[in-house]
Amino acid sequence: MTMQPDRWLPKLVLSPTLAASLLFVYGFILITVALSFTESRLLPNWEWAGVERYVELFDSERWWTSAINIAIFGTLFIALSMAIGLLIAILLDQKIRGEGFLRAIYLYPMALSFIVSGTAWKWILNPGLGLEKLVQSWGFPNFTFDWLVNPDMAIYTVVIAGVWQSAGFAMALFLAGLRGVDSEIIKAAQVDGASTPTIYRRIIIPTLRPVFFSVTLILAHIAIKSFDLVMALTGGGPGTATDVPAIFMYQFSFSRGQLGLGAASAVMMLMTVIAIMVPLMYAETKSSG
Amino acid sequence: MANLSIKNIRKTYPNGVEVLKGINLEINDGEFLILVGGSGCGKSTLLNMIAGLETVSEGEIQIGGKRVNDLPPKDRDIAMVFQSYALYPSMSVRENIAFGLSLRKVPNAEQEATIARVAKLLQIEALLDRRPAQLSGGQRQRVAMGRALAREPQLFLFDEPLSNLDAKLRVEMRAEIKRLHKRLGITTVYVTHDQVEAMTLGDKIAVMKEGVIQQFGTPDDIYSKPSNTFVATFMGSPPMNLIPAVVEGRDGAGFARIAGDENSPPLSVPLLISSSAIAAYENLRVLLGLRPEQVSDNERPGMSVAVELPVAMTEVTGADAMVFTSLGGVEIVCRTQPRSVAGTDRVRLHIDASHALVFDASTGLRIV
Amino acid sequence: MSKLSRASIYAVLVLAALYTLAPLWVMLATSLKSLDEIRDGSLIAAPLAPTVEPWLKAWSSACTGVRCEGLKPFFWNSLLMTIPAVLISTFIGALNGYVLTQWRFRGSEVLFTALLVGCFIPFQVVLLPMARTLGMVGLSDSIFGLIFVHVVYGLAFTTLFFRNYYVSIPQDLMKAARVDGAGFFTIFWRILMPISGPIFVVCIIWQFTQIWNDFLFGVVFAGADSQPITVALNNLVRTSTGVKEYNVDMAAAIIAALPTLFVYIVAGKYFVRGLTAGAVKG
Repeated sequence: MTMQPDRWLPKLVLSPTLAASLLFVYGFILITVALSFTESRLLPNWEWAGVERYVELFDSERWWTSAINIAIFGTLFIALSMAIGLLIAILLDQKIRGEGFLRAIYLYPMALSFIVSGTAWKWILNPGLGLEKLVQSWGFPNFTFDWLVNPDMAIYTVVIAGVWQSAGFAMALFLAGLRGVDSEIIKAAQVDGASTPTIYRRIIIPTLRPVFFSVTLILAHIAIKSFDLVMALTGGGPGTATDVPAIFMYQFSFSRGQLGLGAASAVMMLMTVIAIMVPLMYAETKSSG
Repeated sequence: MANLSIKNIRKTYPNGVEVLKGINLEINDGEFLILVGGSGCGKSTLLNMIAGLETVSEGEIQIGGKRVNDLPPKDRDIAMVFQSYALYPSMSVRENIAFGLSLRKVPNAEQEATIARVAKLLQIEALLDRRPAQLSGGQRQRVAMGRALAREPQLFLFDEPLSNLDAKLRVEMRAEIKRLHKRLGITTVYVTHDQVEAMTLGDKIAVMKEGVIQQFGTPDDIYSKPSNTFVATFMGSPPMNLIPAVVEGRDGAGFARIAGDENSPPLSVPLLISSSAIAAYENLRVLLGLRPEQVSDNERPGMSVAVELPVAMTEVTGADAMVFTSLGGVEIVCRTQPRSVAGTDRVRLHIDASHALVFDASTGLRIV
Repeated sequence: MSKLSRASIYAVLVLAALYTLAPLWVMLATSLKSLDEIRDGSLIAAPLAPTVEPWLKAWSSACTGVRCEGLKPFFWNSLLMTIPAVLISTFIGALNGYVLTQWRFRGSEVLFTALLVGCFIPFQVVLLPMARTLGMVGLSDSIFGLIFVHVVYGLAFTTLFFRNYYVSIPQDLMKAARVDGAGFFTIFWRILMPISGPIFVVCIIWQFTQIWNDFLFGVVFAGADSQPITVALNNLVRTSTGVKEYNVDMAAAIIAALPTLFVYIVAGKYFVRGLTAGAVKG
């Protein structure tokens, strides 16, 4: 039997990627999980510590601040981006002149780094010289807008910047979904006498279910990984008021030399992603298949 | 010069599904073999295995007397035409035809000569510098054939090459393929689900179902002596009528007795069988196989039985009228002349019993 | 639909567009103003006396931590990191997509699914082992280390892109090429590459945007001399030596954004296609 290179070449070509995935994704996740059960501080120390790091994590007020912040940010960020994105997509779907141009404008923030947009919003929301001063100069001398430096409100500035950046993306996905709806279904509904709002509410939006699913998935993904935006906008401050798990993980792992605790927080982030993704994907595959 | 010999071929997929269950075929050099069957019968898998595009699980394939099981496609000296034509979208027609030649390091001058020869043969000279996207369906089909012809292979493989064409082009290209085969005499295997193509093109036909060859023979054999009810109803349009009946011997002659119902009277159709066969099959429940043209308004001398039946529906196709009626409790189709059924609700039909076939009702195998 | 409701639709859309554009305008206007004008004027006013001083400073002399050489060295770092990382990850992704669609083998679908996990994980969960690994092989604090990390964690996406593109290519094309005598690489180069232009553009743009804009890997794995521009920008904004120079900050932010904005403007269509293509599965 002759050796046919075409039998083994494909597998050979794929193997570096598989090895990389096995080692750098799956292997590294396992190492991080292992690390979270050890005494590691500044350096990895493979002395078994059981769930000590997790106890430490859950006792940490800063961790809970991060967790609450990501919940607030995540919920508002996803809800507002989707609501605004869907609204704009539906409005754009009304045979608008200049649609392509408008669409390009709504989407450009997605091309920017979160560091860039964080920097920009940090300046705009600056209480001394930014928006506050602008509105005051319009004849509202008592207007104050100090969310950026107000520990209770600072997390909402992250929401503002995040939604500004991502709503256009949600719009693009919804618009693509709207364009994919079979136009004969819409014609049939029109013949049945349905008004435009009814057609959207009863027919088009329900068929967008898979789009809602992927938009939620991606926005949730962006939210959980939110690190750059917070770093650039507030740096986690004032104090620790806008800490999110990604910042917590970074601070404890790389600045404070608490590898074990950092690993535990990273594992918690992974768990959160799994806890959100798995039911969503399960629901989606179940309903579609 | 290549004959093709397929010996006890099996194909089992890793998930355990057996798509070919022991196929044996043998064709001589220059013959045109048709593999025909419904979707999922394994015909395309078999073709891919002949081409070397799928591995053989068991058995042996020989081309020109040489075992090719482990040869890659390029070393089998074959050419293939695909259902989707599979023209390389980024190459011009010329480049498409030359691709296989250039991979085989054929000198440029020879390539040019081949392209010219093939283009002339298929009348695609004017298309040589176009891209596949700029061609019509029929033109793409011609280019795909040209690409296959360029190499003068030992064996030509066609995978449902006409099924994406409209009806008129399909008839044209069918004739073209037949003419090319006559002229070049290259051994050919041709897969189709279309029984008209099978009947008109093939020297030999293999009718397949569920990974098994139901019958392998000449078109005439397949049409007039189908080995079972599947082949009988698959080949021919409209399909053969299968009427439940019971074998009966009377005065040394055999009959198929069809029970009456509210539409039709009971009927005995004489059968051409020997007395020993009568004895063997007496009282057996059978299916009487009659092609539509064997139940017609045309009275023929000899073994013919007349019956008057109510007309449920007629379809006039031009030269013929198809009469839908029922006999022995099943719907049957009869081919008549249009004028004899115009405006009538009953029709007198003659059953030509000389070519009647009889199938065992329980096994479906032909016994007469 | 009434004229009034159409007018209000346009009004909402135009307002939304203005809101989206406002930060860019504020950045641009601020970057061209002097500090005095910033202090006295309005946030959204156009610069009265435009000056390129802040741009020059941001590019070549602003302090990013202890170094005061502006963004220039880091801009080149980013380019040196992004270009190889994009090309390598795209090329490997193309080959992977080709194997996964045209040369399927037993278990290849499972492998693909396993590979996709790389699109979903929060990278925090691999940072610590990766930092250690880069240190051990002597790649920490270097641009090569960053290139490596971006290639490794970009492969899931690039493979996804090409797999989804190649999956629609009919199997017959492959069979025809094999019968014609073409092997694995010949088919890839001669048949697939010539029709892969659009997906290469999509994938390259996506990877370019992702890698250029990355901050996490940069801040964790880069050394002082190999920092990408996002990290440098963040340092620049955080470094306060006396007066806060908002104009320089804004100029620096725009400089950091220019390459991706440029790509968006010249090839926005492909950028959007990448976003939505990534979203279909990812």
